Amino acid sequence: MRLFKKDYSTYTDEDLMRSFVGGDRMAFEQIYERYEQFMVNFFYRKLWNDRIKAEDFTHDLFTKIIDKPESFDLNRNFKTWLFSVANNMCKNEYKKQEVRKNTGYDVPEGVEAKDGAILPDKAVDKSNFAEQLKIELSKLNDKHREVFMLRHFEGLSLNEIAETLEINAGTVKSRLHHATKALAEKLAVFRKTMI
Amino acid sequence: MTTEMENIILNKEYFELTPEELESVSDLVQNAEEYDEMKWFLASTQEALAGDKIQATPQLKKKVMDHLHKDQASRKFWLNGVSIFLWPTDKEVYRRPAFQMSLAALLLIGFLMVYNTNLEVDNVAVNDTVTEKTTGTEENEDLVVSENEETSEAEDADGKLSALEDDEPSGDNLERALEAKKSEDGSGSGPKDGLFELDKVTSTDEEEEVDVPDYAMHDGFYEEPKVESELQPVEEKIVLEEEKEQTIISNANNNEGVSDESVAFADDADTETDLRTKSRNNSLKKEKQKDNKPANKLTVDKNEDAANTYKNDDQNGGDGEYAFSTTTTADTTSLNQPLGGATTTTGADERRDLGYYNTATVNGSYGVDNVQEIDAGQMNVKSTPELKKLFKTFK
Repeated sequence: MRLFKKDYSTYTDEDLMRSFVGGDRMAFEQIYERYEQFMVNFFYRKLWNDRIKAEDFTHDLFTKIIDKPESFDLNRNFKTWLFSVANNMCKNEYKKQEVRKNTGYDVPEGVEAKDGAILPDKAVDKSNFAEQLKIELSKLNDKHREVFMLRHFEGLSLNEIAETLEINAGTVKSRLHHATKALAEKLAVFRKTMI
Repeated sequence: MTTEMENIILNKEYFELTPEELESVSDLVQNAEEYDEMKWFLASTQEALAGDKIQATPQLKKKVMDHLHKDQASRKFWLNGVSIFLWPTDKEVYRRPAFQMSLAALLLIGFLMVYNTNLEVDNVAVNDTVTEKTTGTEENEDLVVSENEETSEAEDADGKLSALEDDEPSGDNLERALEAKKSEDGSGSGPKDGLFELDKVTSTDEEEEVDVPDYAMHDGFYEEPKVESELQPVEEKIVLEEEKEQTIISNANNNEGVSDESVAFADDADTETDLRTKSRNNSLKKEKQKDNKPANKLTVDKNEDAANTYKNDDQNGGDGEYAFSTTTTADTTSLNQPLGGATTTTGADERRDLGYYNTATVNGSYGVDNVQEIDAGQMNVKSTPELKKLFKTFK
């Protein structure tokens, strides 16, 4: 049986999409397995940490691929194309809501930033690093924050981020360098206490 | 490059960097201490962000997979989508697009039918012509133009020729009429006065009451004079009166002038003419009812009178220079008078009532030879376009 069964794990994303356009539903299932978590978390970050909304958007994203698989250009990178589609969906949602919240990487409820001042009693707490990171991220420019999250949270490369955001790779490198250095300077105090 | 830089920082120590790697990370860190801080920051960030990731619920995958298989089934026949769109079952009937579009189409068609009825003037004129012909046929039952409604002039001409044949099954009448027509066309060098005098006709209400159109015939020709044996008996009273008149006229002509007797007799024309008019009309109606043929009686009477007049003209020289007028008591005063002298008679209206007309000129003279042509100028017929067309057709 193994001889007649395709090993989709060895296929690239583009090959899987090519097979799916040809009518292979198993190829799409493989794609879904690869990017389900990416997309759910992407929407979760971008859409105000709303889990239900993130799953709804993930569902809509994959149903669009199912309905119109030919919309994908086989010459493009599937991962960047998928993220760009998801990013556009988020932008549309922002316009729809008419309230541009901080792009998904908002400060969780109950956490308030107080002019960047780190409370002394929490400064030494390692568990507070994540919260402080979010606070510092919220203070960043949207463009810098977006690039930083795509790089460190989604795991995209510079070129993939550039394709996703449809900007120059050099611009992505510059923004990422600026965001990383700024966050590292502000969160350096945790290193002294945590080590 | 940046990816490699971050991976390098996370995976290697500062002293392990190659010159190329050291050069690549030099934009971010300058020395070993900064390198260690950056390494710690990146590791802490990834750890912190990884803790914030969520797991998708199994329901999400199930819904997507259901959509996948459902979509595969529905993609077999794309036209189903059209029918579903046009006639969705989950909506009320009046809210379904197919119903709404059909209703809009009906409204549009109705609007165009109501407000887009452009009357074509030419067609309307043709229809009027046909209607008038039908009306004329009803008035003149003997003049059946054609059983079929034909609109073209050529067809009208053919229909009238066939009507002539119908009027006289023997066809002699038609042949004679055509021969007379040919002879007139050959002899006449100029236009027929009778035909063009229609434009000069001025009709009055009194004249319109005259029952002339039946007598005038549809083609402008009189019937061929019939012999006396063919004539149908009319009321005896009229015959006796006519004989009496002929006698008086003959006597008057023999005296080569207007006798006092004839003039005196003309005084009684008013009373006698009414009687004769009624009698002639009655006889005409009887002829129609009897044979359902063209009323030749009145024409015959005229021809008979014309023959008598011609005979009288012969007695006076018969040069044809005198107007051809039938012999009535009223016209006796104008007898042997040049054309136009008839206006001195007791009543021109009476002559019209009796259907007496001067013949149209063909050769520039008046006489028996022209007895078949009507002087349309004296006919009480309106110069209608249809009549003109009719004359032109036979011309």
